[in-house]
Amino acid sequence: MTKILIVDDEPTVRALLRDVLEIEGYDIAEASDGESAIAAVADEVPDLLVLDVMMPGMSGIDVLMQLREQHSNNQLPIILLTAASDDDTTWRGWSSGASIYLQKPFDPSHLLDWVERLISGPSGPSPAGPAGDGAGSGPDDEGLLSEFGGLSNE
Amino acid sequence: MSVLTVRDMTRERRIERMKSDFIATVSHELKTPITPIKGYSQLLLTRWDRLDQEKRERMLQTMLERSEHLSRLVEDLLIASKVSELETTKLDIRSTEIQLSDIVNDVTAASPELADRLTVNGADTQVFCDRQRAVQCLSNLVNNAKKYSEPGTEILIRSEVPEDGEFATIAVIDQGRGIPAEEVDRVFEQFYRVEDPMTMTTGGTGLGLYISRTLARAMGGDISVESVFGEGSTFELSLPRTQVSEGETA
Repeated sequence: MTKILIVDDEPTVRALLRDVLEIEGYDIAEASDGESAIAAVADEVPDLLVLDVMMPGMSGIDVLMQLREQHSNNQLPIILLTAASDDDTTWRGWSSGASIYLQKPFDPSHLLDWVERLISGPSGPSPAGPAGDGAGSGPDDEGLLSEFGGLSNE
Repeated sequence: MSVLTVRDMTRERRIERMKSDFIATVSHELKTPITPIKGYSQLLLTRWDRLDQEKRERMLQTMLERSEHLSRLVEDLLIASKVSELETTKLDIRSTEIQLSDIVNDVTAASPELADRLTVNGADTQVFCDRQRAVQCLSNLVNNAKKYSEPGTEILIRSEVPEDGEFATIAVIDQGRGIPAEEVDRVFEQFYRVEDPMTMTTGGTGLGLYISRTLARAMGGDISVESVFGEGSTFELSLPRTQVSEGETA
C-alpha cells in the first residue's frame, strides 16, 4: 500500500489531506511539525511527502533541505504546500528540491493527480506527459500545465 | 529642506513595508481557513457517493467552523479599520452587569481542543462590560498563549478580585517563548508581531492584541503584559466592577 506522510501544523488541513488521500486508498501518516516529520521519515521512509511550508519551529523549507541530503527526488517525492504566494518563498521551495509546489487553497483533484503522477513515475514529474490513468478522476492537464507555467515565468 | 525629504522617504518606505507585510500576513490568515472550506466542498461535490454519512457530516461541520473563523477574522479587520486610539466611540459597546466567570466559561467552552491544557482558578465577582467583547478579548489572549507555547504545556486562567478595588482581573499565564524585553512595549501596536513577518512561522495579522486592548479600554478596562523571554508571558485583562460613567473611559 502506498504510504504518504502529511505534515501540517493546522489540524483541519491535516484532516482534509487525510480525507482526500484516503478516499483514493492511500495509507496516511501524520506529523504536525518539522521535527516529528524528520523523525517519522527516519523511522520509515514513506512513498511521498505532502509538506506545509509555514510551520512554527522548523519550516517546511528547512525540512525539505534536510531530507534532500539523504533522499533524492526519485526516492522521495515531496509536494510542498503553502498559503504564501510571494516569489521569494516560491523560489526557495523550488530551489530546495520540491517535486511540485501547490498553493493553498489547493484543489483536491489537482493534488490527487500530482500524487499519482509522482508515485507512478520513477523518473519524477514530467510536465509534458500524461497524468496516468487517473483513478476515478480525469487529470486536469490545464491546471497541471499552469502550475509549471507559473514556474517558467519566474 | 533636503533633510525633510529624506525623512519623508524613510517614513514612506516604512509604511510601504508595513503595508506589504500586513497584506502578506492577512492573505495567509485568510487562505488557511479557506483551504478546508474549498477542499471539502470539492470533495463532497465530486465524491459524494463514496463518503459515508458520518464523514459527510464531519466535513460539513469543519466547513461551518472554518467559515465562522473566517467571519471573525473579517470582523477583526473591520474593527481595526474603524478604530484608532481616539475613536473608540465608533465601537458598538453594550455593557451590562455580568459575572467574571461568565466570560471565562464562554471562552473555555469555545476552546474544547484546549480542555486538557487550561487550568482555571481564582475568585468571581460582578463586572460591568460587554460580554461578547470581553469574551473576544480573553479568547484572543488564550489563543496567543496557545500559539506561542509548546503543545501540551499548561495555560492558566486566573481571576482576581482585589479587595475594594475598582477592577477585577483575568490573567492568562503561559509557559511559552515569552517576549524579548525590548519588544514588550510594542506588542499592542497595530500590525506589530513579535517575529519577522516575512518568515511568518506563526500565523496572525498583528491585530489581535491591538484590537483587544482597544476594546478593553473602550469598556473602561485595560490589558497589560508581563513577560520573561524564554519563560512565558502573563497577559491581564482588567474590567470595571461598576458602571463607568461617561467620559471616564480611557
